[in-house]
Amino acid sequence: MGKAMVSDGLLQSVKTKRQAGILLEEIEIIRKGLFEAGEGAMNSLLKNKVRVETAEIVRETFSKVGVDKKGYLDKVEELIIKMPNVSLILAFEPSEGAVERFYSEISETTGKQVLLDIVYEPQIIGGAVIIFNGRYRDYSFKKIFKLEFERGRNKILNMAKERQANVNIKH
Amino acid sequence: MDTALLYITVLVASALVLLLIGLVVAYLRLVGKTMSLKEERKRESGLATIEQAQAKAQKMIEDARVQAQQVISGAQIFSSNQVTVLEKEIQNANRVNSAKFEESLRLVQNESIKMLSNVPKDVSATLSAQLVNIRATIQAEIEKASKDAKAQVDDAYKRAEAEVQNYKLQRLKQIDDSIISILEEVSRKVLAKQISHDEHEKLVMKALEEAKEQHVFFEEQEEEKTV
Repeated sequence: MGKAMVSDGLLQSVKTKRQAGILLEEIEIIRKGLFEAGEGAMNSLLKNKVRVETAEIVRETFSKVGVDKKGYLDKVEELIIKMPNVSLILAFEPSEGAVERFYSEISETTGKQVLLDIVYEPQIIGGAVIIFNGRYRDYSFKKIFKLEFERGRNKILNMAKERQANVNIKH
Repeated sequence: MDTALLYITVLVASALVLLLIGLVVAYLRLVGKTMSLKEERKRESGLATIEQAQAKAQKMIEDARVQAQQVISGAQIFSSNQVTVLEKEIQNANRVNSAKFEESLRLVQNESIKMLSNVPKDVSATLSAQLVNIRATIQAEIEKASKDAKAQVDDAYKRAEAEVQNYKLQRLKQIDDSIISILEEVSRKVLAKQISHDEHEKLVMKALEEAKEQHVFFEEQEEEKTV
């Protein structure tokens, strides 16, 4: 069972690390369900224990003739585990659409499926910090902000002192 | 003079003793000779000669004894006379010697008094010189101590001043840092509120593009291939 077989199914639904975690839990539940007797038991499990999207893909795959159900689940699990992680530290909590756009941009660049590990960190003000394959790049506003403040430190301090002096004179 | 007299007396006494010893020796020889003659006469069977010789010897012995008695008694008389003379001479000598001793003692005493009378002057001069030295030394020490103390105070003052200055600078830097930190925080919050979701997304997309340009998303193998 190759990657192509599963690429249109469960793997397409996984874009973030959080989603991957949920899917791995579901795979584990379904795998346990394989050993329970009866078609009804599996249907009940897919209906009640996993998300709709996951249930539909699994049901469709399992309905094919001669499919190795356990092998399929194992392969999906293996591919998810092997997916490279891209950490994105953001200053806002992105919408689903935003995540999809980030994912598309990155997967297009890398040419493969990745897992986004999105961390919400408002201290970075804006932009993003990207960590991939041991590389760390800070494209945040915080860095620019720090640099600008450091550069204009004396100017800012002088302004603050002048302002304080004016306030004292008025009083 | 007294000493000479004493010597003469001793000399005479010694001569008499020697003479007496000589007589005794002569008497002993004579006795020996008599005995030998007696033996000889006996041997020659001359008893008369022996007796005659014995009488002669007896007489000689008697004479010698008388003479020795006279010498001894003469010597005793001379000695007893001289005892008083000797005593007198000794007394004179003692007197003269004690007079000389007293004179010497007086001279020594006078010299001592003179020396002792000079001692205070010497001591005074020496003490004055020493006092001058001591005063100079103490003054120098006081000046040195004063300079040292001044230098120490100056050093301590400079150190304290430097520490105060350092502390002041540190505090000023802390204040500056606090001001910057507060301004940063305020600015950050203001700016963060000013950025909309769309703008955030655009900023992230821009960051991803930059990362792409900087080959952040390339795998190691891909990097090797490109190289």
